[in-house]
Amino acid sequence: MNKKSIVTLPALKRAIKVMKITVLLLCVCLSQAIASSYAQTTSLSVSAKNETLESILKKIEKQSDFLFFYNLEEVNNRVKISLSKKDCSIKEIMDALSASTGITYTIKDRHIVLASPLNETAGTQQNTRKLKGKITDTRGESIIGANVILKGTNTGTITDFDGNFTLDVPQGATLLVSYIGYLSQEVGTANKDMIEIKLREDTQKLEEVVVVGYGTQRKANLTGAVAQVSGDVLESRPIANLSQGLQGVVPNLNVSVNSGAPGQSSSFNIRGTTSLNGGGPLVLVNNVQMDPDLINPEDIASISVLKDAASAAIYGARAAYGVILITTKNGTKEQKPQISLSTNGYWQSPAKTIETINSMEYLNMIDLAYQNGGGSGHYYNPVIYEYAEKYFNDPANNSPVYYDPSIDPNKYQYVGNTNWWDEIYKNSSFSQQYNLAVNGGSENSTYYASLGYNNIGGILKHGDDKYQRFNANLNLSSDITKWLNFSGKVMYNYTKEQHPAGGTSAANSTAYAGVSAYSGYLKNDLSPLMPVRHPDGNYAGQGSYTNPAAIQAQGGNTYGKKNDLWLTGALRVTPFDGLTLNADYTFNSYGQGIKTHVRRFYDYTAVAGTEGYYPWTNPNSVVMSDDEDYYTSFNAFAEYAKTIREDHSFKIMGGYNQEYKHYKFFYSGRKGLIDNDNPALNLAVGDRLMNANESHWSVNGFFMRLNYDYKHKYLLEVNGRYDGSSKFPKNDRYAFFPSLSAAWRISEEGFWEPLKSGWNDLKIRASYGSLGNQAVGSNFPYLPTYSINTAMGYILNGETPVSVGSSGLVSPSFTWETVNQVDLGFDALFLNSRLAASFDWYTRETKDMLTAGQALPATLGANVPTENAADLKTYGFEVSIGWTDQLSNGFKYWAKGVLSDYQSEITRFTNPTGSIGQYYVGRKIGEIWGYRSNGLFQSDEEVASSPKQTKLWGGSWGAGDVKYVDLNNNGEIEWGTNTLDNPGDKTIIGNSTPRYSFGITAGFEYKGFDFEMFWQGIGKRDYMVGGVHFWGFTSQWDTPLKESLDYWTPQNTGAYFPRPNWNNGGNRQTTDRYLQDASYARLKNVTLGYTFPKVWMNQIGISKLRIYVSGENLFTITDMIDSFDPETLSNMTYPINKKLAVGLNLTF
Amino acid sequence: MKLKNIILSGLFVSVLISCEGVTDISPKDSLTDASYWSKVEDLKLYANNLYTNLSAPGVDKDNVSDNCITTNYSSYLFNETTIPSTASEAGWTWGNIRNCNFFLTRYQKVQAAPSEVNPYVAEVRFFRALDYFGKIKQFGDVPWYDKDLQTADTDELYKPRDTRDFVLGKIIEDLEFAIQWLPDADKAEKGRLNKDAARTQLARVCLHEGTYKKYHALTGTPSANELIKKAADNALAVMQTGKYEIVKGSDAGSGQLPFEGYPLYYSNQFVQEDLTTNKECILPRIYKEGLLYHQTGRQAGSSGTGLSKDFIESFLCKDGNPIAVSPLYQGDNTLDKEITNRDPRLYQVVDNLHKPYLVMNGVRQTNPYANVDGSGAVTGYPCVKFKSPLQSQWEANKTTYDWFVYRYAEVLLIYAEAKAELNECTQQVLDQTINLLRDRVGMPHLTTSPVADPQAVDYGYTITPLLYEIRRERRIELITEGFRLDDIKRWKAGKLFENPKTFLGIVVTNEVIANYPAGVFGGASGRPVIEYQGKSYLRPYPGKSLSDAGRKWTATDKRYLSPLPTDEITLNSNLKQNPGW
Repeated sequence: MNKKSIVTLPALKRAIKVMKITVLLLCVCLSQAIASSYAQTTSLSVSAKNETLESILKKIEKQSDFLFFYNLEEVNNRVKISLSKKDCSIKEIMDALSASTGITYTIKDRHIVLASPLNETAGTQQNTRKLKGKITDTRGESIIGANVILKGTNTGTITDFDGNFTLDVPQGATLLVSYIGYLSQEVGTANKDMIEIKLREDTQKLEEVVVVGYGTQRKANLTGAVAQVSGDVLESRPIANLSQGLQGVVPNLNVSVNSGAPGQSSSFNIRGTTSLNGGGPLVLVNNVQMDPDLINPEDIASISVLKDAASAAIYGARAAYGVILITTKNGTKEQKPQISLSTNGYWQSPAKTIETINSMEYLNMIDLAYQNGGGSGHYYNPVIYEYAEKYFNDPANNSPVYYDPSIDPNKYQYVGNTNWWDEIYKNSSFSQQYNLAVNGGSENSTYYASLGYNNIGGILKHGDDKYQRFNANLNLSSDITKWLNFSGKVMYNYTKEQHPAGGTSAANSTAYAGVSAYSGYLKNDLSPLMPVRHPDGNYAGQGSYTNPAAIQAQGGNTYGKKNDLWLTGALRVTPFDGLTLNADYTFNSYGQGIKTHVRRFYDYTAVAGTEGYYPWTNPNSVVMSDDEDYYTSFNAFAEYAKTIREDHSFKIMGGYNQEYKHYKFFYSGRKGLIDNDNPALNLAVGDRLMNANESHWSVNGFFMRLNYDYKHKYLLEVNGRYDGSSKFPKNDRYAFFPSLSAAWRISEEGFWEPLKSGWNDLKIRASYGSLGNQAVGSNFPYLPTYSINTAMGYILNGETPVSVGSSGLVSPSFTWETVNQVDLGFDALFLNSRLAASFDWYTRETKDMLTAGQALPATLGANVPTENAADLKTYGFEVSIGWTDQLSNGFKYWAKGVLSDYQSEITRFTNPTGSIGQYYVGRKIGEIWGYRSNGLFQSDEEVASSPKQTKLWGGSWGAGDVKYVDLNNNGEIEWGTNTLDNPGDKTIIGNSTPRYSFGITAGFEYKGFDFEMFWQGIGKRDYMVGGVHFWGFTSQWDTPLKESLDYWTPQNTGAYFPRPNWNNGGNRQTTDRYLQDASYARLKNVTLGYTFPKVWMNQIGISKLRIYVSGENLFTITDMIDSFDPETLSNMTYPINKKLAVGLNLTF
Repeated sequence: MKLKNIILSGLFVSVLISCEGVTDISPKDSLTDASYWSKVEDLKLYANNLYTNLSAPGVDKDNVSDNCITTNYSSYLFNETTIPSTASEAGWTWGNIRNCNFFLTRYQKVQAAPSEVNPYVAEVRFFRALDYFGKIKQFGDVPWYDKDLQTADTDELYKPRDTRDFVLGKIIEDLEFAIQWLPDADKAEKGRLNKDAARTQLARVCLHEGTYKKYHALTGTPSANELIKKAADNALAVMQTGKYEIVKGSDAGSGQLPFEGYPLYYSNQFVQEDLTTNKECILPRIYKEGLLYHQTGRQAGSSGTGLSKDFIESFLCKDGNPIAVSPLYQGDNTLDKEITNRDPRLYQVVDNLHKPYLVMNGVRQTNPYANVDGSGAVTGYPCVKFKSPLQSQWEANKTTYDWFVYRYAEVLLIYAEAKAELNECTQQVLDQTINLLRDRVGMPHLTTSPVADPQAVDYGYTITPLLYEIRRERRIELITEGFRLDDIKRWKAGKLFENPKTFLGIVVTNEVIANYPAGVFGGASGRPVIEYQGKSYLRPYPGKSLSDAGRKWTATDKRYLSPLPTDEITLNSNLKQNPGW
């Protein structure tokens, strides 16, 4: 094979070392004095007998920090040299070598550049001229040791310390310039004597090192489906936690945002439906299980997502549905302290505004609904209508309440017109983040320390909800001896939050006020007629209504605190070259204390003295709860790498892992606070209550991995793990899970050569793995346990006694779920690595899923026990395509798109009757069964001439009701036997699986400005929302939203909704007419930043200063009905917010 | 390199040590089969869990009957019920039976004297009987189980229904066991089951099943007469304990301040804080300030439901005669006239000017006119039987009154009815029973030959005036306590629903209109009225004709039994749908 590269590829380690040190040189600008001192003070001993120059140089590199830059073709490597030098300076040795080989050299600190006089004569036969050049990076810093060769020849040179080179070039020659970590470039030389070349960093980083299970791997050598993003994606974003920042970044890493409440967490999923009983990815931070929401996003160096079974297999039974590996930042050796400060502040408000109908619309609609349901006349007392209209038309001169003792002797009648959305949520709230980090290192050790503070303000108007997070992080690593490294990590996370309690606590569990920390405050029954306050300033409600504003303001708060301390110690021993032994031990103590104060308050009426306490928060109480969890993790693993005869590289890794988690929880509370405003347990006099629980789980396992690499072309990886989990019965606790993956770097083959300039790299991959899943419900799912109620809702002998209930059924044949996954994929780079593409197709079979077994008659009297009853197949793909380029004027721009998809279907489930209410073989997950509709009945005659619909609702159907299609033509709309054989008129009308999740990032950098925007969305999804806030009225207690006003009347025959009628549930069937297209595209983030020019900043001692403005969730495109957010699919939750941020990054 | 060796061997040893038994752990805070069933206390704790199956407070228990009319019409009474598909929608639920059988197949592990163990076995068998009684009332034949089923018990799971008679026999066995082993009422813990509660329940079951058999002309063992006799015997056994009497509800206990001449001895009984010492109470469900509350105080009279015109007319006049006969009847031009000279229970259950709606600081308030709204009481007759005069009791989930699970009045009514059905109802029987109820409210005594009511409601067949009066007494005394629909079914009296007055409200006269704010009645937006037999009545369901076909019940109407869920019939082919559905 014709080797093109003229620099021999030294071992990978060296390449990285080069890169690191070069970067170090560039960034830190070590002073000349220090630089030269190494060469002067270091003494070396070299002895060689008949060895090549290359071999001697390697020896020197091994015992020192010197690095040689040379062209192997240039230096005379055939000469055998014998040399014996003891305690000499490098200069003495180099002089000796120069004498034997004729090379010349220059020493600059640890860098030694070799050149050969022979070079000058190469190719002199042709008409050549001397070309001088300088190679720099985009910031204008010189690149040392870059390769410059004449295209199509073996002739070339490397750059010196100033990035300069000189080369004899023939007419019309083209130079090929390359340097590790940068994109190679071809440059024409026509008519030039002096040439300046700017190399762009290779952002695709084929040489990038990717974090994998218990180790790292070169990206080029990966055989599994692993995606890694650097911590940069989280930088400068006004996000509350890590998960929000990862949404849409990695294809098929699906993040669901549940609500926008301060402190609310999100959930992760990798590659879609996992198991019918759920199960998500294993999230590891520095190899231990940590709550990703508690860590400081700014501390994160990289996030690796192990998607296929082969990559995840090393983690065994917890990794069946993928692994997310988060690595935190470390210091760098020989770097002076670098201090960086970042901060931002942002304003947030609901991303989607929802409007309830006004009082006139409400009164009109409720009357119609009442009448259509068989009622008559006004629903309310007629006087209400009269006053409500007056207030509606002239709120300034009328009252939203009136008092008529003949209707109620004590209470106001409500005739207001309240827009509750406006009353519950603020227009905006302010949040801020600060982060301070110091890192650096000496010759033998490194440090990284950071402090983070995050303060999120809620958007509740009458209550005070907030979330604060404090993070402190210290990573230290030290080479105690040449073969022993010790590292330690201390991470402390502390959060504080406060939310209105809503009256609900353990002391008050029956109090459903509908408002709580994370739930929606927009209750279904908030009548627009109720004002927020009475004219006398007291909150409205009067005991008959729940006024969320009053509860927010006066009902007491929940105060939560979390303490999360992580201590890790690790040893790395390198007894001899190639072998490393690692051991680490992590201890975690997690505590959560919650104090819930239920505060009683007066619910005022019209007549002073008749007010009572708002019943749901009376009596007042305090409940204090405490979680105390301990987690320990121990890993010991060894890795041995060996290359045999240059071409065969082996790496074998084996180890042991064990983890144990212990949970303890208890609460105690007491009613009857002496001081209503002071929730102290010792200052209460009423009933006491307490409860507790305690549990634990453990896993352990042996794992091994073997990597084999032939000429960097053929790559093979074998994983195996023998794993045990306390969650299974004793005789079935351990199992072995193997996996295999392989890759072929086609672009390294000779035949690829002609393609290589346009298509730089291509690797195809295949993997198969089998994993167990231990994430199966409770900690002891195989044991039937009795239910215990410590205070049942029944008084016997003067107290609410303890009661014990029967245990559920447990299947006798309870065992592991097995997850098998096949993955096929490729990675490719095109056009000088500017275009990168990656594709994976996968299919995952979840076998023996622990789910409710075959439906049994209800006479069983219990839920059908969980058993290994079903199989599921999930298949999908993910693509990512990215383009990065930099124009010669320095304009750098990029665009990246990720797209993923999955579908799942049941491949085994016992359902002999084919009931469609259950799983059946062939059922796609998310499948929506429903009726088809062909509009609304326009007349009673049309009802009479259409198929009968009385099975759906026994009442009389009329004009304005939903008309269904008689699919089976039996003259009647019905559901048959609800089975596949006879589904009546039901059919599959859609699927709620989110398909085609995508994320698009695009941005540019130019003259200090940077801009990036990030879109995220779902390409296809059907969703039947239903519920009060979709239909308007499902009972007389509801308050419809504006969107519900488009209902049928004889005047509005083209309406979307049927005529209002809370009795006719037949109108509210699942039907294609009301199925929503829940696909969306949301502008998740847009950022514009400016970095001040370095020359200015350096003068005031700042190495970098960047300021930016950023927006989150600013814009959404969707066809979904306006009253719903396509992301949460609910409008009864705390709304997702849009944010506008300003911030700065400062580095000293 | 000594250090290196130490570290290496340390690593190696720690791996070996740590693997040992890491995953061999067991639950820390749970009870399992292995750890339970060792002592009598275990039995008690388990039995506790079943107590919530007893009758719970509520004001809606007669909502589906001829006594009450709801805001939204009952699809059952207009024959618009759709067949439910799932077991839970249909009420075909078996968790409770399993809970009982779970105990009954395990309690034997407790080694203790029968006198210690059996009282709890008796409680659990009582609860099993209670649940099965509900099932046979609802579905007729149902499968009988006496063990907690496992998934492999396919014979039992897929078996056809057992006959109603067979299951009834088992229910009687359970209850007789309970009567044998439960403690006497004065020896039981407060709130726990006692002998008399079990006797009352057995009497209720036997009267129900006996009369059901009789009026639906069913044969089989036990016979209707045997059952009715058993009902009488058990009711008599409770009466003969001498522990119970009909109590005049105290004003003090209820916080009530009655108007002169309008005592509230009947309705006060239902707003008492403590029934444990109340002699009319055979078993109370106890509520206590700060510990446990219910909601009837909030719901009573303001849930939309109103009493029916037919029910109001069923009250006798003060002379003991029906309104069609009595000269005391003032007609129904206004509510106030309508309640004048009537059985005093009428003014105690309907909101009117003679019963304080609210008593605060010694001041009585009444509502000037009864609510007629869809959100108040659709008939203009709000039922205030459980309404407290104290505002503190009205708040959401803040009612603290004890609830009658078994009330002595029912025992007396069972005895009277059973005796009448057996043709053994002497004046002595009436004096022991109905007349005690009448004494409380000051009504004249019933005799064995009362006046026949010329406007008697039509049961679809004729009965003796005595039995008619006993049924009338039962209807009034037990209003909204949840007996009426069961009674109509066992009497096979669906015909009653044909009477339009069972779904009409007050008569709307000019006097009535004048009493209410303008625009409440008639017109486009007022409450609709309809002419019936020469009078204008408030019409809660204008969409329904007075001769709606759904109100007509055939002799073998399907509605006497409920439908089984279609899903269950699909799952178990041995399960057949009830006739007509």
